[in-house]
Amino acid sequence: MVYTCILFSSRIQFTTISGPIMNEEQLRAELKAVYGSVSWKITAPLRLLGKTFSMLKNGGLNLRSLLVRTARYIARQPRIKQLGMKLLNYFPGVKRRLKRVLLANHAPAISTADPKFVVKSSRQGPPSLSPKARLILSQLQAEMSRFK
Amino acid sequence: MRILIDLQACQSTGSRHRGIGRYSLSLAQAMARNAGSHEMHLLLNSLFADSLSPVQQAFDGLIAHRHFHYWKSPAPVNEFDPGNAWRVRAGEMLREQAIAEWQPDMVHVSSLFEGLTDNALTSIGQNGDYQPTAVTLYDLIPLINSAHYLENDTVRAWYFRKVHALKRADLLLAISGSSRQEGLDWLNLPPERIVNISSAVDERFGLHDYAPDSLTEIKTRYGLTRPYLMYTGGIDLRKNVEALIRAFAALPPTFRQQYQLAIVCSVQPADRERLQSLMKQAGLQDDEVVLTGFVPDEVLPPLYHACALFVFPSWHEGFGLPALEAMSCGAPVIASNTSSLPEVVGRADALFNPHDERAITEKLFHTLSDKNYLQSLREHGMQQAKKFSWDASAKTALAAFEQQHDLQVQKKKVSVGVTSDQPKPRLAYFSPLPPERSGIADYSAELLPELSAYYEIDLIIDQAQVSDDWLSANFPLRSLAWFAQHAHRYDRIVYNFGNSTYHTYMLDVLDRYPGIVVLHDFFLSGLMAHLELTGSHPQIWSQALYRSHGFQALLAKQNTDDLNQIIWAYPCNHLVMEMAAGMIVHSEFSMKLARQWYGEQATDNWQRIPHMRNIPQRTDRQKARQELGMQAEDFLVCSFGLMGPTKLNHMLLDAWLQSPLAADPHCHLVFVGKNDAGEYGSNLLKKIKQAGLSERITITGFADAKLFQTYLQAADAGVQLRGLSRGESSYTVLDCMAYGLPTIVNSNGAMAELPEHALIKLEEDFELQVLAEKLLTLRESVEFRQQLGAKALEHMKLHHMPHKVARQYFDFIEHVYQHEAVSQLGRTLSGIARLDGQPAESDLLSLAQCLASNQSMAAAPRVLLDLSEVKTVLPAQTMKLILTKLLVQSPAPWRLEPVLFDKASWRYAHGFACRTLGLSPVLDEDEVIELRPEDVLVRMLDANQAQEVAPTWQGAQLAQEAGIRALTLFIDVANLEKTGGAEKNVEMSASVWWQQIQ
Repeated sequence: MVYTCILFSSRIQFTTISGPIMNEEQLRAELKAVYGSVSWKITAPLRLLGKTFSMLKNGGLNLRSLLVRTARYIARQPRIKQLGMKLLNYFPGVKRRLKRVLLANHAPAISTADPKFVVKSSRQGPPSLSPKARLILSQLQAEMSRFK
Repeated sequence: MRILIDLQACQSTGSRHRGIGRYSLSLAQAMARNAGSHEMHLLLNSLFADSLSPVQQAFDGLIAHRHFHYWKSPAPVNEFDPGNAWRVRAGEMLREQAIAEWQPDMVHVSSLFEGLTDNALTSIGQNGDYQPTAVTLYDLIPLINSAHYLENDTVRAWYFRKVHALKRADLLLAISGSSRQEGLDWLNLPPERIVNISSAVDERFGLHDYAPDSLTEIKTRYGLTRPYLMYTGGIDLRKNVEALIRAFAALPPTFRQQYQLAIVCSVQPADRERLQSLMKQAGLQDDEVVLTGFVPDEVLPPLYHACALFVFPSWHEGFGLPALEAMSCGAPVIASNTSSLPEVVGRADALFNPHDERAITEKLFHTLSDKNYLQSLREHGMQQAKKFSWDASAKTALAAFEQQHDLQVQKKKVSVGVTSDQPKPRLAYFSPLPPERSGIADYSAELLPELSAYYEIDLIIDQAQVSDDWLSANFPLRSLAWFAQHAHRYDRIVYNFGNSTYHTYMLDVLDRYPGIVVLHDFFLSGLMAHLELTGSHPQIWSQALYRSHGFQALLAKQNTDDLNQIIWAYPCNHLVMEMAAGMIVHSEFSMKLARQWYGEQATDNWQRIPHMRNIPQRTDRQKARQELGMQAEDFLVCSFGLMGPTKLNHMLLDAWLQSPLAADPHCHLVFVGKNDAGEYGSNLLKKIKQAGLSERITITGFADAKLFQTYLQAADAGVQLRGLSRGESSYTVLDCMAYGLPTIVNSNGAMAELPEHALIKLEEDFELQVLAEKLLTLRESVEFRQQLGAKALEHMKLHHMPHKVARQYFDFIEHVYQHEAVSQLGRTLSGIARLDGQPAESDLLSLAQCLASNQSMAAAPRVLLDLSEVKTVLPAQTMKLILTKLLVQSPAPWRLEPVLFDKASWRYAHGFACRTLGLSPVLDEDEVIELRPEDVLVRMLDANQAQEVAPTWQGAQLAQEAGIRALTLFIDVANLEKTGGAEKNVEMSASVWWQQIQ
C-alpha cells in the first residue's frame, strides 16, 4: 500500500511521499518535513499544461459558440470541409467535441408510447445494508419462505 | 488457465505459523514463479485482518495487486462451537460463491482441514460441482489413528465433514508418495486423482560456513557442551520421542556419556514433566537429554549443521520435513522406516524400525561408532536433498492442474449439446415483437423459431398484440405481471435491450431477476432521458447518470444549456452492466465502448454474436425492376434506412453529384427510407432540386417491408454510410449483403468489423472523391459487381444464418448459467435457504451484506474521498471549490465519490455532496458503500489542523480488509487564497493530484 501526501496549497502544489502506510507520529513528521523543506518538487511543466487547460476551460462557453459558428460555416463549404476533416484527424478531442456539438439536435428517436409499468425502487430494506445487499436479502428471504 | 489459490492456510491461527502454513506459502510462491502463461490469483479471508499485509508482502512482485481477492463472512464460524453451525454452513456456501465471482479454471485449496478453532472456512462443491478444485493432501493421520486423534465428538464431526469434502475434490496434491498412498487406501480414490508433488525446504536450510565462535555460542545458549544427537519436530504420540529417549538411555553408559540428546522444539509444561520423569526412570543424568524449548527460526540451520547425528523416529509423517532440513544442512540423518521417511531419506541402511527400541539403540550405536559411515551419510544427505525443490513441486502441481483442466474441457464438450432425454430449459424471452416498429422486434421474430430448438420459450411482452403468426401460434405470450408471479418457473431469462421505450417494461424486472442481456444499443440514455423528461419516471435519468457516471455527469447536466449533449455524452446503462449475468452484443465496437467507460474487465462476461439475416427466398429481379420502372441498362444505387445526419446521406448525395453518374441518364440514386423531418432533410431535397435531378435522385419516404424488399431485389449496388455510431446495430448493411448486392460502407463503429473481401470499405472519414470513384467503378464493371455480390452472399451464409446464430446463443447462455457468478447466486441463496437451523436476523443481514460485498463488479475505478474529518472544518465555499475541481478534472474512466464514516458504517456522502455542489439529490438516502479492488480510499485532512488529527483512521482498516489503496490528501486551508487565488490553486492542485492517483 502506498501512502501519498498531497497538499492543496498556494505555496507549492504538491509533494509525494511513498512508502508503507504510516502511523500518526510518522504522518505528523512527514507533514512537518513537507512544510519545513525548501526543496519541494517544482512542477513547472505540469503547471504550464494546467494553465493551458484552465484557459481553455475558462473560455469554455465562448469556445463552444465559436466552434459551432465555425463548424456551421465550414459545413456549408464542401472544399474547406474536406480539408477541415483531414486537419481534425490530428485533433481527435476537438473532432469529438465538434461532432457532439454539431449533432446535438439529433438525439435518438424514441417512441412516445406511455409505459404501463412504473419502475419502483426494488432495493428497499434495512438501513444498515447497501442497496445490493438489500436485493440479495429480499431474494434470500423469498427463498427461505419457499422452503419453510 | 486462471488458477485461484485459497490461502487461508497462511492466515488461520490454526496453521499460519505451523508447517502447513509455511508449506502453503512456499508452494504458492513457487507456483507464482513458475506460472508461465497461467494467471495466478489469491483468495484471502478478510476476517484474519492482521494476516493480510504479510501475505501481500510475501507475493509482492509475484502476483499483481488486482489478482488478490478478499472475501468476508459473518463471524464467528469456528466449528468447535456448535452454536456456529448455521453460520459455518452458510459461510461455506458464501465462500464458494465468492470463488465463483472470479471464475477460476482451477481452485487450489492449500489446506482443507481448517476452521476448527478459528474463522477459516473451507468446503468443496456445496453449491454444485462448478469449481474444479485441487487440495493439498498433507496426511490422513487423524483418520488412520482416529482412536487417538478424534476422541472429541465435535472434532470428529468436523474432521469427517472435511474428509467428505476431500473426496469431492477433483485433484489431490499429496506432499509425498506415502501420503498419496494413504489417500488411495483410505479415501478409496482412483489413482489419477492424486498426484505426489513432494515437498522442499526453504533456502535458509543449506550449507553455510559458520564461524566456530558463533556455533559455540549457540550451543552454549542451549546447554550443549558435548557432541549431540538432535531431534526436532514436536512432541506427539506418533513422533515417538519417548522411544528415542529410552533407546538413547540403552546405549552403553561410557559411550553414551560422550554425547547429549537435544530435543529441539517447544515443549508444553505437562510434556516436559512427563519426559523428565521418563529420563529419570531410564537412568539418565540431567544434562544427557536437553529439552531446548522453542528456538527461533534462524537458530535451526546451525543446530542441524553442528549435530553429530540427526535422528527422526516418528512412525507416521506426511512428509517429514525436519529430516530433509537436516540433510540440506549437512547433517547425517537416520530415520524410521515407515510412512514417508524412506522416500525422504532415500537410503535403506539409514532406516530403523521405530516400534523396536532395541533396533533404534543398535542403529545409534552402529552409526556413531563408524566415522566413515557417518561421513557417507552426510554426503548422501546433501545429494539426496538436491532432489527436492519448491520449483519442482510447483511445476508438478501446475502440470497436474493442466491435465485436470484438459479433462474438464473434454467433459464439457461431451456434456454440452441437446440430448433428447432431458427436458429443454424453460426460457423467458423479453423483447418487443412485430408489429412494433423496431428493428429489435424483427430481429426477435427471426431468431425465436431457431432458438426454440434449444429452449421451451415463453415470450414476455408489453404490447397488445403480436402480428407475427408463427410467434403467436407457437409461443405462450405472457404479461409482465404474470412473469413477476411465476419467475421461479424459468431456468433462463433473456432480455433484449435497446434505446427506446419498447424496452421500458424490462427495467424493473432486470433489476430483480438477472439474466442474459442482448444489448442492441450501447447507449440507453435516450430511453432514460425520455422517461424522465416526460415525467413518467421522475429522476430515472438523473439516477442512471449518477449511478453510471457519478457526480461528474450530474454536474455536466446541471451546467449544460442543451440536454441533448448530455444524452449523447453519457451511455447511462449501469443497470444492464450491473445486472446482466452475461451480455450479448453484435459488434466488437460495443465492447470497446464498454471497456472505455467501465474499465478493462467490463466485457469479461460478454459475447459477440454476429447479426443474423435469413438469405431471402427466391427473388425475381426482373419483376422488381419492372415494378420500379427500371430498364435493363439502368444502374440503380440504393441507400437503405431512416435518413439523418448520422447516416451521412448528404455525403452520398454530394459524391454522386461530383461523379459522372450525375450526368448519366441511366444512373439512379434512391434513398429507401423516411427522410429527416428537420432542416437536414429539407436541405437534401433542396440540393437535389437545384441539381435538376429530381427524376433520377429520389427519396421514397417510409418504406414498408414489401417496398423495401423490392428495392433490395432491384438494386445494382447499396451504399450504407454512418457517422458517429454509438454502438447501435446496423441491419441494413446485412440486408444488402443477404440480397447479394455489391455494397459500399465506411469503417464507422460496428461496420469497421465487416470483412474487407465481401464489400467495399471506405475509411471512416472518407473523402467524397473516393466514394465517387467507387461508385463509378461499380457502374463500369458488371463482372466486378457480380463477384462482390457473390462474396457478400457467401459471407452471410457462413456467419449470419439464424440457425447458426441460435446455436451461438445456446452455447453462450448455457456457459453463463453454468459459470457466471450472477446466475450462480440463485443456487447459493437457494442452498442457504434450505439449511437447517434458525439464523438470527443479524446473521441474515450480515450474510446479505457479505454476499453483496464479495461480488466482483466490473466498473470504473473510483476515488472514495473520506470527508469525515473535514466536513465540519472546511468552509462550505472551499469544500465546494475542491469537490468541483476534483470532479471536473477527473480523468476518464475515474470517478470521485465523497464518503463519510458514520458510527459503524461507511456511506456515500450523497446528501452532503449534493448540498455542497448545489445539486438536487437523486437518491433518497446515503447508501452503504461497497468496495471494488480498483478503488482508492482517500482521507482528506486540513493540513493546518494536522496536530489534532485523530490517531486512528477507520479507513486504514477498511482499506486493508478490502485490499485497496489508502492515501491522505491534505488541504492547506490557510494558504489556499494566496498567490493567484483559491480557484487557480485548487484547479492546478487537482490536476496534479489526479495524475498522482492514476
